[in-house]
Amino acid sequence: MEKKKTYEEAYEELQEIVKEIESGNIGVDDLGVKVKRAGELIRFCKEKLFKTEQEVNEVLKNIEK
Amino acid sequence: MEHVGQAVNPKSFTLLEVMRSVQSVLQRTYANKSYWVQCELARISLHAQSGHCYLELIEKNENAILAQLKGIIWADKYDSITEKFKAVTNTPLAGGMKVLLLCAVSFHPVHGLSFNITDVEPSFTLGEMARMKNESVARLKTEGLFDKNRRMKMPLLPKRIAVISVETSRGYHDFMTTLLNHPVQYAIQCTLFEAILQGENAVPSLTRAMNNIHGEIENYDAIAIIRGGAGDAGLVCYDEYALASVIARSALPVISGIGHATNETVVEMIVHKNCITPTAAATFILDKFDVQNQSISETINLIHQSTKEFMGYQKQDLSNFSSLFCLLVQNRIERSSFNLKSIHAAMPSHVAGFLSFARQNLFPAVNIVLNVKRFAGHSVFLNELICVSATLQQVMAVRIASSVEELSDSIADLSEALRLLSDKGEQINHIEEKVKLLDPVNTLMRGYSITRMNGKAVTDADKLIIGEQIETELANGVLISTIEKKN
Repeated sequence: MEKKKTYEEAYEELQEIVKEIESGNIGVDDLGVKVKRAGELIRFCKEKLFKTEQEVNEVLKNIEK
Repeated sequence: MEHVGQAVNPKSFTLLEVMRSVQSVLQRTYANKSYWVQCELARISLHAQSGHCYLELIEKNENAILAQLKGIIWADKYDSITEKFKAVTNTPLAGGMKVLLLCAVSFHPVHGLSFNITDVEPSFTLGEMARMKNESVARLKTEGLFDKNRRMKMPLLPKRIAVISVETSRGYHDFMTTLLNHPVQYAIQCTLFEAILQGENAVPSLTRAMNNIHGEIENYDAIAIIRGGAGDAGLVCYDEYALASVIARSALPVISGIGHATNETVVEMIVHKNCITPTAAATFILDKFDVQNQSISETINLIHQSTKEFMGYQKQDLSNFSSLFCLLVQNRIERSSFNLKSIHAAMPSHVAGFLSFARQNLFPAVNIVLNVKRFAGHSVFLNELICVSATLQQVMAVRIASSVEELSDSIADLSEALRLLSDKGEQINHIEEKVKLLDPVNTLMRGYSITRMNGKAVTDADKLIIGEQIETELANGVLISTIEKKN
């Protein structure tokens, strides 16, 4: 997940993926990739909902170390 | 100058004499008279012990104070005047208000000139307040500020809230309690900026708080102005252009929870979101998080469901295809089986045809043989016999070869069918019997013979030499003959 992504951007990308999956115009191989990406975005959004920026930054710092 | 050298004072008066004189002049003109006076209430203070209320009345233009006078509401009038005022305006008398007061001019040698206030006309103040409010709205609209904050984009998740309030106030308590008691604990961070929220000092204090927030604007997503629990007093400041314009220019969306029962103030009209109470303001923020939380949950379900459906379609496609494949294979087997049956059915007529052909060719041959027997020793007949025999042999060889080819085709079909249908073995056995019928031994049994010379089958009379011996193999036994003549 890109560090600078905002909740809005993540949420928008998530909605686009859902639209794509719903439309069915997607290959089985692509589906796997998209669902995986959706999972990442959902985790990111949930973190934004429930974790303060400070907590998120702490997590990022720990990852960097 | 007769008075030179003597200290003779000019005619003078005592202070009290002058004051009494002024008092009597004023009394002559103003005694027992009252006037309705328009003025601005600069300050108002109630003397707690006596119950008397002291006012500072002014008239000013934009630059300067043009007139100023003290006013007194005696304790016996204070309650009736303030209650009358509040009943109409919904707010107590407060500094900054334009008022219409019934005044009697009074002069006291010690306390000087003042107004003795005996009545108030609250509808004048109401009108003035409305006028000021209308002027604020009109100016904000002219300057393009009226919709500015309302049109700002509120982040999907307003997480970092700069709260303008008073820490000990009921409103702030309600706001924070609502946030903290929500069943889902979202990551909402509030930072308090203390400010005076009503009365004369509210405008500069709120403006200062707004400026402080804008000094570190990158740390916040939204501003909440939270007031409550202090009644409806002193809300006039929220109609003032000076405050409304500061809030309208805010670089962050503003949520108001000012908490009062009177009409919407100008500030509440221009903020991004006006909530009736501090609790409602907290709920508004929480709702945004709830909506997102709900949406994410729904998205998760949707992905699960869509993926399941999608895979379902794929499986269905695959199963449709395999059904089709089965059908195609079955079809092919049936066609092979049909071919096999046709070959089977045609076999007797093939054989019969072959036999009748053989017979046609055989009878002349038999006749010749009989003739040969009859005219034994006659070389002409013998040669004819040899000739016919050779021809027969040739024809037979061709027929046999073609039969064998047909049969091998049949066998190929059969073995293909055998791979697909194990129960076709029986038919193959049947065919094999037919094949046996065509064995050369069987041919010999039917009266044909094979002519050999030096152990090799003779197929060409040219290769034989007169006088040599040839062997003629019959179904039973072998004849040895000597060639006497060739045609």
